[in-house]
Amino acid sequence: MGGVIIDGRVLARTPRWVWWIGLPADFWLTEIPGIEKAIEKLKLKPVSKEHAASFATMSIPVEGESRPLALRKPHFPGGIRVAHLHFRDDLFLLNEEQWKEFSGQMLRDFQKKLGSVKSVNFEQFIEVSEAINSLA
Amino acid sequence: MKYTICVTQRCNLRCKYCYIYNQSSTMPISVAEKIVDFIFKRTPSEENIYIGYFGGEPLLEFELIKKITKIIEDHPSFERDRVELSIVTNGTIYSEEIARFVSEHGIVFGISCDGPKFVHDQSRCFPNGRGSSDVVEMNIRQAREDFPSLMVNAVYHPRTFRHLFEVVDYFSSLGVVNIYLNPDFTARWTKREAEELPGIYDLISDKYIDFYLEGKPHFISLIDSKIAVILRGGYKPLERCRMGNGEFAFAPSGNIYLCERLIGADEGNMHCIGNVVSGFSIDRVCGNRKSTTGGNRECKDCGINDYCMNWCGCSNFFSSGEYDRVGPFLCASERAAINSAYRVIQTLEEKMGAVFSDHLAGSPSVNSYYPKLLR
Repeated sequence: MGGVIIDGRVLARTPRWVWWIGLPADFWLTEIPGIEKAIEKLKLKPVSKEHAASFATMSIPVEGESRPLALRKPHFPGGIRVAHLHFRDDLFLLNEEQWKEFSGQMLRDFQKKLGSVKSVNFEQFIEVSEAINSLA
Repeated sequence: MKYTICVTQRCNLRCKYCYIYNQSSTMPISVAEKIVDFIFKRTPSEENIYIGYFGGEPLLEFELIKKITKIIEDHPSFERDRVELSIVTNGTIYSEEIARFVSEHGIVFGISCDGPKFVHDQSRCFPNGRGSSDVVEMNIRQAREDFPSLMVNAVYHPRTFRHLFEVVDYFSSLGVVNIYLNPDFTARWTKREAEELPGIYDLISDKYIDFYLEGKPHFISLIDSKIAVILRGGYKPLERCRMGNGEFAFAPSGNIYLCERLIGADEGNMHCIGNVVSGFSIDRVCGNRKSTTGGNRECKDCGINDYCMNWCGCSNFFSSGEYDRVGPFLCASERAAINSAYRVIQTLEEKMGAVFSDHLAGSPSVNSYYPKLLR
C-alpha cells in the first residue's frame, strides 16, 4: 500500500475499511460461477497479459487537465477505472452495453428479493424484550 | 483482521452518546508491546492487518501513538503492504507535526464531526458545556488541505437525523467528499422516527445524484456501501462483523473485547473476553456469544437479508441486549438505505452508464477522490 503520491506529496492512504465494520469482499473469488457465465454470455475475450500489466502506467487524457490521469491509481483498492471482470488469471474489459447487461442481472436478482421484505415490528419487539427480561 | 487499540480512555470532550467511559487510564507501553505481538501472532499470514488508534481522544496521547507505531513498524513480522493504520480523532487536536506524522506513516486519518454547529454542538461539547464545533471546523479545513481523502464520521440520533441533508451539504462546503453517516444505536428511536427514515435517506440520495451529475461525486457511506452490496449480490462472509474471530479491541488495561464499542468502563465489563497478558478466557469467549432467542425470525424469511447489516453484533446489542437480535430501528434504517441506494443505481446508470463498475470490488470511495475520471 504505502502513501498515495499526489503532486509530489505523500498523502495518507485511502480508507480501505470502507464499511466501518468489515472488509471489502473479494468479489472475484466469491462469484466465480456467475462471472464465468457472464463471460460466456457476453462473449468476452481476455485482455493480453502484457496489455493488462501496462494498465499500471497507462493514463487517459482528460479535458481541462494539463496532464493525462492514470487509469489505475497505484495503491488504490478498486483498481482499474473502467468496467471489467477478473476470472482466474485473466482480465476482461466491458463496454457500456456489456456492463449494463452484467449489472442488470444483479439488479434483476435484487429486485426479485425486494418483493419479499419483512420487518422487525416495534410493538412486537418491545413485547419480546419484556418477556426476555422477565426470564432473566 | 481488524484490531482497535484504545490508547487512552481520557477525552477532552463529553459527547452525550459516547460509549467509552471517560476515565484516566492510558495504555502502558509494556501493554502496547504485548498487543502488537498478539496482533502479529494471531493474524493468519494471508490476511491483511487493520489497526485503528482509538480513545477516549487518541491524539491526547500522540507521543504514545508515535511509540506504538514504531513498535509495529519495527516488528519482525511487519510488512508495509499488509498493515494499515488509522486514527479517528474528535477533531479538537491537530497540528503540523500530527499531519506530518500521519502522512509519513501512511495512516488513514478521520475526524468525528456531526455536521454544522447547530447539529454538532448538541452532543459534542467540552466539559464546561461549550460546543466544540468552531475548533473542529477549523481543523477539518486544515486537515482537508493536508489530506484530500480526509474522512469525516457523523453520528445522527433522534434529535438530529432530520438534518442529515444539511450535514452532507455542510461537509461538502468544507471540501470533504468522504462522508460516513452512522446512527446512534444506543438512542431510543421511536416508530414514528423510523417511519421518517425513507424520506430522509431519499433526500441524501437526491443530493448524491446531484453531486454525480455535477461531476463531483462524494462517497457517502449510507449510499455507497449499499450500492456495492447490491451489485455484489449481498454481504460476503469477510465483510460481516467477525467480532471475537476477525475483530478485537484492546482497552488501555490490555483487556480484550469483541469490538471497540463494547469497551465501556472496562473494569468488570461482561464483554471482556480476556487480557493480552493472561490470555483468553474460554468461558467468556464462548459464553459471550450465546443467544437466548436465536436471532430474529423475520430476518430469516426476509428477501433482503443478504444485503442487510443485521449481523452487526454491537449495534444489535445496544438495541436488543443480544449480539444476534436486531432491533426495529436498524431494520427500518437498513430497508430505507437499501431502497435509496437502489434508486441511485437506477437513476445514475440510466443517465451516465457504468458509473458504479468499480463498486463491484475494492473500495467505492475511490470515486470521490478522482471525480474527473468519471466525466
